[in-house]
Amino acid sequence: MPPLPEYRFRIEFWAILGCIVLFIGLIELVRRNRLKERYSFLWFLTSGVLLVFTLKRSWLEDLARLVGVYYPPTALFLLLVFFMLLILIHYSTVISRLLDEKQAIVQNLGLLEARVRELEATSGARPSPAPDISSSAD
Amino acid sequence: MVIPAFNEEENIERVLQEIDSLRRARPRWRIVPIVVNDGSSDRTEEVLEKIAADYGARFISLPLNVGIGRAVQTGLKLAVRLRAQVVLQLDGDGQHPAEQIPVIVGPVLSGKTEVAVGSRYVAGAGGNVSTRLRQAGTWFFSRLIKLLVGISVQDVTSGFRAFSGDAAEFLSRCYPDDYPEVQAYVPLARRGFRISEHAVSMRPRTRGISSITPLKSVYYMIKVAFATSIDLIRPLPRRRGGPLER
Repeated sequence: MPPLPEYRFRIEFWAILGCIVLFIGLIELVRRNRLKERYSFLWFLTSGVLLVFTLKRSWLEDLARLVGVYYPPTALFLLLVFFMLLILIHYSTVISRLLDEKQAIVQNLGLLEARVRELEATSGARPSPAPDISSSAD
Repeated sequence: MVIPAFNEEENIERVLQEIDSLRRARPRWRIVPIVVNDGSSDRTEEVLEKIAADYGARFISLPLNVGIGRAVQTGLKLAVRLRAQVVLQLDGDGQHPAEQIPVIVGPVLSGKTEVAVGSRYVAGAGGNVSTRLRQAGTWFFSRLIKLLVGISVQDVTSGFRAFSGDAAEFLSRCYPDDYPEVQAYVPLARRGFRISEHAVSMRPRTRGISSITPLKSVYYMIKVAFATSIDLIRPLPRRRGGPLER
């Protein structure tokens, strides 16, 4: 029989280390303005929840029992996958919003440009459509 | 008259020429072509700068490609601002002959309908009846629209349509983004706009390449079906009261 307590210690060690590295990395990204606070929130939540469940073995065991997982550390992975999904969906909505906003900006830019062009044409010396830009300058 | 154009440097002048001849045939109509250059990578913009004024056309040059739906919507926005009584949607590739324009503009102008679709498939239509695959796809979408909102349009993928000022104003606020030809019928039908179909003949494209390839068709059909179904449960803006200024 392999010594169980030792294995248990190992997985906890790596989980805690992973959480701490993630946490420090996130802080650093936010500090250098490489990641907006509002988009880092879910990541911090992820690392925080994982850390809590790693340190509080009894909570992890409760969680494992609740969802029907025999080996408690597997519940940790389940938790991780859940948060990953959450983050990915969140980013999909962010991308969709950005696309919508980009399209609205492009539309308005095009409309404005057309308006400026027409204004220039009508306010020029001659209302003729000749593209005589150099002579129509004030 | 909204004309989306994506890489149509070879076709756009011919389209404007045809509209010009329509203008002579219908001197009482005040026709304003609005060409929407959807971030073309070819010389469409240059060509437009050179010729638009000669044809009394306005053009909007979008700095990035936003897709046919958003391009048409941009044109609708301008048409609404110009208080157009009827807004015509016409492809920039020249497959919709200008002499057919009165066929769909007439019924909208006389108030018989609010959305008139130029159709290749109803009785009396002729000319380009497209590939069999496209026909099958169109039939499928037609059934889908019938199923979803209970209106029957045979040629649902037609990009040759006339809208009343009201319908154009409504669509300028909620024109669909992804597959606008088919999808647009859902919000229109949900807000009770009257839609009718009229036989026209279309030409096959003479130059350039069409944006739909047969290889992607099945995947395309699934995507359109999905997007159209979502439109059924999407929140919709209201239609604004009476007709716009006469």
